[in-house]
Amino acid sequence: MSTAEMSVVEPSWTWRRASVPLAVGGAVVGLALVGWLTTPEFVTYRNFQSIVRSAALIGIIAVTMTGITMAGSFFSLSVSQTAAMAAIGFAAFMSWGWPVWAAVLLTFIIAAAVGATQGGAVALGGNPIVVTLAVGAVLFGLGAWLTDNKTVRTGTDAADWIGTSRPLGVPTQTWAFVVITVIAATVLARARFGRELTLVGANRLAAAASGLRPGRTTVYVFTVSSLGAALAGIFTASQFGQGRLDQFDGADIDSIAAILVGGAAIQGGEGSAMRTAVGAVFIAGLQNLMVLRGFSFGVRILFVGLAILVSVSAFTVLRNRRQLT
Amino acid sequence: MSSADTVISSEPYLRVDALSKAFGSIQALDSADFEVGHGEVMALVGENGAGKSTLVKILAGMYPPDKGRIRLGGTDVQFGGSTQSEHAGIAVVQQELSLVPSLSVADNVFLGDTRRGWRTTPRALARAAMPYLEQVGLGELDARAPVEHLSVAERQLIEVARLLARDARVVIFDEPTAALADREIQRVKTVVRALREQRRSIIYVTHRLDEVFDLADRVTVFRDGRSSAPTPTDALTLDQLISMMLGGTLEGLFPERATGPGALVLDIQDLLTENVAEAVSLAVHEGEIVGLAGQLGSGASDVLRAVAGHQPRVSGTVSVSGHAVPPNSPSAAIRHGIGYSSSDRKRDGLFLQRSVVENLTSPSLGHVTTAGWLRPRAERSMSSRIAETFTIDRLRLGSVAGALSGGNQQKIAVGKWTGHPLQVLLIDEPTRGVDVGARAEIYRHLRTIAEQGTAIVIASSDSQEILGLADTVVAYFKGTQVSVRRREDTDSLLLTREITHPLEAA
Repeated sequence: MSTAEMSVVEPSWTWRRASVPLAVGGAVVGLALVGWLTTPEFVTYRNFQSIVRSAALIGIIAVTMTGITMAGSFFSLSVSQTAAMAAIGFAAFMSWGWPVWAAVLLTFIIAAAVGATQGGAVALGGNPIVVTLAVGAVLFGLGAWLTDNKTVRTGTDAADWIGTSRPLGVPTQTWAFVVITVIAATVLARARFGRELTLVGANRLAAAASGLRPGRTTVYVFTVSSLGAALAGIFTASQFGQGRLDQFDGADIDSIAAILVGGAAIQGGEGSAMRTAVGAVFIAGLQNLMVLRGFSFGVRILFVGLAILVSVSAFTVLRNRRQLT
Repeated sequence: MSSADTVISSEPYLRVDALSKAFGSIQALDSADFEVGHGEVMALVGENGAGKSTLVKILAGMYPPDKGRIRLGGTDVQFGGSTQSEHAGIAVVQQELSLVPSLSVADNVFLGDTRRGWRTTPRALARAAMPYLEQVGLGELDARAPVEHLSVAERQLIEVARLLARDARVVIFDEPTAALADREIQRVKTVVRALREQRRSIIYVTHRLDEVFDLADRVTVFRDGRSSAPTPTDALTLDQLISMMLGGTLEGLFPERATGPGALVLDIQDLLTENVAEAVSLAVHEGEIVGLAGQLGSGASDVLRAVAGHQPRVSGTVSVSGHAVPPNSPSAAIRHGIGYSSSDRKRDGLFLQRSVVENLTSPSLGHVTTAGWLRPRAERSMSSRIAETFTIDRLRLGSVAGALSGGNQQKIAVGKWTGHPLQVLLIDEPTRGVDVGARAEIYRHLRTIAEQGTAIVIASSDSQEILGLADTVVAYFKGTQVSVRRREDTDSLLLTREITHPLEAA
């Protein structure tokens, strides 16, 4: 028997449809207001620059991970280990006297392989959370074993420009964050690959029935996420001239928070690179404000956790209102 | 078989008067009457969409009726929810089983039974469950074993045991045998007879007319939301029952039939797959609509699924215009020009949270892509072309598919295949959950697509739909292809017999 279904004529722009972007923007404006009212130094150009710089690395990891979420595979819990291992590997390659391009290339190739492996395991039916958690543990263990828990130094300044130069007065990390966000947004909106991953996330069975390849798409999104994490690792290794196992602690929770504050649907099929980027700025701004207020590490984690909780609940409510299925 | 010793009391135990229920524009029940007495098996039959399920769901307390009265044991009752209906002694053996597979048999028998504390041990629970299991012929079962390893029939019987544990006075069987093999059907029938002996009231919903004559004392026929007067099965012949179900034909619902079909397109040879007991061969020509008629579990849907690569082929070949189609790959089937719309569009036919445009172009992305980038203009023109063919409101192209009515959703699920050149279109239940107006449109669109040269195969449990639409009619019964006939060589009487009761038809 058919169920009762409402027929609502929707124009292309409605408050309902705009509710998610508005909520994301509103969160950032709200944060800025709170900062302005409580902490005068929060709303200065210098501090804004500092927020964007710290947002850049989390932003790169989060924006490249957005594909995983949109394709219906939740998150990768191995990004902080991937980034740390990339930093260690890159530092080691440089210390062996390799040219910069070779060190970068090999780091990316290994990261791509690690990402594709996880994507493959998920495509075969592995739970993405479990698979990436396990791979994160393997990477961490491997790193601890290979480096003997010691810092790996590049021992050369040949790669410093990657992490420290400021074309047009803006740090390279920020450039990369902006460029990657624009590319990701364009791919998601205009490329066939972006459409396929969105459809796979929206309904995996329907995607397979429409001749799309959910497995292949899954491998790709995990590879992209792994490459993003590796890029963050290379930036950090070249900025500080060293790679260390604990360099990216907390990067996974921050990037997941950025994606969720950006309003991507956890079950997949909906999301935006631009909103994730705004989410990363929000998380960085929140961290920055809390540091300015002298909050302890524990309290800062508490607020990031609350941000996730509030955004997930709020977006779920918004979506349920918006959709009559 | 109607047992002569059954006494039907003057006041029926359950009585429904002038019940009405509408879903949006669809009048599912239109002033329907129904009754069942003590110790009586009342069969409830009718075509799909006749209102049977709606009545069952109202009795189970899942929907409130719009109008009408339900009397139970001589007093008026109203159910605010399924719990209240349960407390009143009405229980439904669901089509979709509601057991918890990982729990034990005994746990399931007492599932949701609040009178039983949670201090009981598994052993005590198993002992308490035993009398109920014996009543349904499962006395030999280990009540402490988990349900998940049991057969579908055994699970169904455990459901019945659960209803007995609650002392249900009215037991509703909703197509209990649709998914069962012959031997298992016998077990269910035995239990139904035993329940009648206990003077319980049994409502038996079925598509299989042999069961009506075998089990029921009386039968009520539903058609378009209305009910017939209850008729003793003794006083009926199979043909009379069929014509009560079919009623007048639906004039004007179906388009004119085709000009002669063309070259061979889809060639199925000796196909065996799950739920198909005898190898199937079938040829479908350009411009032809072939209708596979059969009830749930008849194998008709399985043939479509196997051809489309959605379920494994055990043996046999499928070719499109002479090219062999490899098995088990929906994308390979699509590359060979096969489109497939499943009977459950929400499961694997639509992206409900995505826009209509994205849904319509999803199987044809390669045709609107250049060097990896989508061409928005090509995508828009493809989707508005489909929308025009299928009369989907073009203002709605930007809406999410889930916001559209069932009829429009079905048009999307079928129409999306016409974005690129298509050789074969397979549609399982083309009009499930679709109101009459949209049905007529879908039929017309299918005929249009066929006339453009596509070979169309539909599978349907609605024999009127098959007869109205198809050029070639193929009957399925319990995994066997019973007959292949040209439309002019069959009629509703013959077809309904073939898909419900083929032995007598032969």
